[in-house]
Amino acid sequence: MPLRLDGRIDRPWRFLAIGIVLVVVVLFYADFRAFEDATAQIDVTRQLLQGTDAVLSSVKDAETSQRGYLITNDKNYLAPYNAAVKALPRQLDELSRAASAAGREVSQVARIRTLVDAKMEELKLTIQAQDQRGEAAAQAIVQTEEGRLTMDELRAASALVSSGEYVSLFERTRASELHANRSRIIVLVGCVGLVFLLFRLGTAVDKVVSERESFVQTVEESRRLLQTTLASIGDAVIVTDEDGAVRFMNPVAEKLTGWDVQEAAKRPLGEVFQVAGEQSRAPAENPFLMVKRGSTTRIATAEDSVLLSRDRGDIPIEDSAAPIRDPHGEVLGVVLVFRDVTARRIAERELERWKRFFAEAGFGMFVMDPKTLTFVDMNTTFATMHGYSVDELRGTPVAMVAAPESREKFLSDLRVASDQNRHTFEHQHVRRDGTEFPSLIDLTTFHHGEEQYWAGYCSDITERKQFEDALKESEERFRTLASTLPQLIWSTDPEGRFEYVNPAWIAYTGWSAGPWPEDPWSLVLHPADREDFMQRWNNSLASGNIFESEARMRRASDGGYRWFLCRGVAVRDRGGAIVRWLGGCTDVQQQVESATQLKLANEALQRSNADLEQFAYAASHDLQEPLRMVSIYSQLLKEEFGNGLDRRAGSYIDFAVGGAQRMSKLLKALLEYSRVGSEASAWQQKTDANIAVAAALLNLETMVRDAQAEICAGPLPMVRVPEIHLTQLFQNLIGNAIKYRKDGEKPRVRVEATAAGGGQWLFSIQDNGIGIDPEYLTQIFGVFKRLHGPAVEGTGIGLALCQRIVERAGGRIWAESQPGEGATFFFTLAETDSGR
Amino acid sequence: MTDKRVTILLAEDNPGDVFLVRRALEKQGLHFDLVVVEDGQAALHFLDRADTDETVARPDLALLDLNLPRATGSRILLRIRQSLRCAAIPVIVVTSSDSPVDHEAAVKLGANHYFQKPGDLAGFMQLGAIVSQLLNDGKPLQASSSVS
Repeated sequence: MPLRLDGRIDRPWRFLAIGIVLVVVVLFYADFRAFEDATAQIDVTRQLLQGTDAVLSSVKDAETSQRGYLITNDKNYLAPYNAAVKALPRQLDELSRAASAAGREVSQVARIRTLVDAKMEELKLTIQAQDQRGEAAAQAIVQTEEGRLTMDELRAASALVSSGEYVSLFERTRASELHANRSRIIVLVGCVGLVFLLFRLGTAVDKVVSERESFVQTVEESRRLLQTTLASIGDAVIVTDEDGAVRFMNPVAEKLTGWDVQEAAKRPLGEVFQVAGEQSRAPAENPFLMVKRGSTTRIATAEDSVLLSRDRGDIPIEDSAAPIRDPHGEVLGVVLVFRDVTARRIAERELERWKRFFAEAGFGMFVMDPKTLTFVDMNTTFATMHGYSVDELRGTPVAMVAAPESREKFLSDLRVASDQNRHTFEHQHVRRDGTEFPSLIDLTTFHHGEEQYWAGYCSDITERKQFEDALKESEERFRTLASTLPQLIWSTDPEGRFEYVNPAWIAYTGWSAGPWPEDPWSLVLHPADREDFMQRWNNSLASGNIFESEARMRRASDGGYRWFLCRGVAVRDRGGAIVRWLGGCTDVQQQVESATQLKLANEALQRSNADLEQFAYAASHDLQEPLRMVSIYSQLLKEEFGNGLDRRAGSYIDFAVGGAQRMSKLLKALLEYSRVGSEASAWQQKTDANIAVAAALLNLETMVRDAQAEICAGPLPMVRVPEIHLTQLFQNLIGNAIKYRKDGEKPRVRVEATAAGGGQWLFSIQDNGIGIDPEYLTQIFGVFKRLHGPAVEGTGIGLALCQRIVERAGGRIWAESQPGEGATFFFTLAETDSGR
Repeated sequence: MTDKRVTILLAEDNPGDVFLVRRALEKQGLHFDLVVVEDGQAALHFLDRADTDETVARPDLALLDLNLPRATGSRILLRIRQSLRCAAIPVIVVTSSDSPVDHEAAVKLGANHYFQKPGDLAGFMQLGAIVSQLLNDGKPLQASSSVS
């Protein structure tokens, strides 16, 4: 029988060993009890023998004591007797007890007690006789021999007890020896058996040791195998100890977490393996703690969990953890397995996106089985478009959504789709409530595994149909209108190819109906205008902006060219895409001719103006020279020859000088007047009218002082008039106001400006002077117009200059007055953006 | 004190004005030789000669009319300022133009004074005092007279 040690000795061997030990023990015990029994019996025997001896000895002592007393009559000899009388009852009791305990010699002991009592009675009597009646009486009793007989009987009884007990002792000793021999044999046999067992045990232990060695080897191999496996598998593995500290990480785990195994060892799992929700960013619970709590043996984290790796950012993972338990169920650690699911998560999201796209697409999508002609699947848009839910339509025949009268056509279209793999067609659909709508369907066949399906999209084209109908109607209206218009009307497709021209076009260009020429414009355009025209047209085609060009177009009737203004606009659909170009060409020959004439006239006028200004300048300047000569030399004449001339000659010379000087002044005024028109850039400058008024008053200082005039100027705005001219304007108007004052009245002049609306300032210069007859109110602005004679100084050009300045600035000047009531001169000037 | 004779170049085509200039200088009591050129080319020619011929008297001052035939006063002024011998002499522009443009141009070209010919005799005679002042470099005028 083999003895294996896979933890325990085999059961039969165990029982055998126990059996041997039990037998040995039982036998040993039995022998021990027998030995004990024998020993007890020997003890009893010894008590019996000793007790018998003691009793006999006490009796003998008492007898000896009695004899000594009887002989000597000395009471001292009675001491042993008295001791025996005292000891005997106890000794007899002990002997009786020993006998009854042994169960033997009881009758002999009883006889001994009787004999002892008889002997002791005899001794007592003799002693009493000695005492009371003397020695003789005592001798008499002794002489009876009764005492001696009793003694002999007692000795015989004791001998009987002793001999019996010695026989018994011998028997018992023999029995003990027998037991001892048997025990030895049992122990010997037991020892042999145990030695045998020990030997077998040794063999078994050897075997167990060798088995353990091979087991250790197997474990080592398993460990290596496990490590190789863990190193080579694609999953990341982390093992923790019972405290949740990292014990092991495989290379994938190292790579994903960014932790080196040496570095991570002994660190808490939560530090090395940090997981959070990708969207929520909420940290996930430490898997060790979850497992440790013991509720689950396996956990899987949320769908969107990401590993917060040390060096690679967020990595989507999927993980599970399981506890390692010892045989008692205690958690020794946790095995955490996780993997990078980036690709899968992307794929899932992609799938999710497509699913949503399918479900939420703005147009109907469906899949049908061509064999059964039933719907396999569709999106919500398709179902609701027909008044159903997706679940209601799944599995129903496709013909259910076709309008009854068009089912035939629908089925034939399906056949076309089947033949061509792809087919687009318009169709009349019916909703659940029986209403119908036109739809556009596009069917494509596709294979999924072995099965063939048709996928289609379906859009409700009610609006498009309505739009098309409306378009058709509007087109009709347009053509009717276009055919009655004198303009040349045309339309092209978005690329500029002609689609339509109206009868006026045909009549003018001589085109007959028929195929459109390759480049229709080039046939009618004047060669000189063609390039610019086509460039504009192509720009508009490219940009969609309004097209406009002026060009000469050939008239078929006489071959002559006339100017046309051609305009074209893009017609767009609701989505903003260009549907066509619509345009018209208007004959502008008349306008072009007038415009040309106007332009020429304008140019001539400008030239004439410039000539005139040049003339005025040259005339006034060149005329100054001779006048200067006349004036100076007249003075020289008077200076050098004054003594030789009479008074009349002197006054003639004065008239000549005065005339020359006056003419010089007139020429200077004319020069100023002519300069107002020039210096275009100066008219862009802004001038503060307050400063211009101040400058004018400075120039008029003497006049103001002499007349004691009171000038009141309100706040004035900025205007676009050169400062020099604005100063001239105020100087002339204020100067006039003072000059034409009433006699004996202090001149008062008020200068103001108010906003007149329309971006204009209204200036007013009001005086309390002699006023102007309304008849002359317009004449006064003419050059060299004077209302007063030489009594009032003046060139007659001041107001003309004022008018020229105001009109050059785009304003208007006028005067209001009644004679004797003072006058008010008004002029307007445009506001500048800076205001007052 | 300036007793020595000065040479004055006058570019002027109007004999009436030549007369008045001479009279103004005389009334100022200056000792002067007046070199009169009647057109622009003649003025330029004179300056060329003055630059190349040491024997030609160098003018001490020039009076230039702007509006001259064949070459303008401005052109002559420019030539003076480029001259070897006459570049530093005072120049007075004497003109009937009151145009600010002409005035500015004259200043820019280096004229020392812009004299606008007045319409009265007394005004014209002021020219003498101006010439005298420029010759004396701003010193008080010397009242002595001489006729060439």
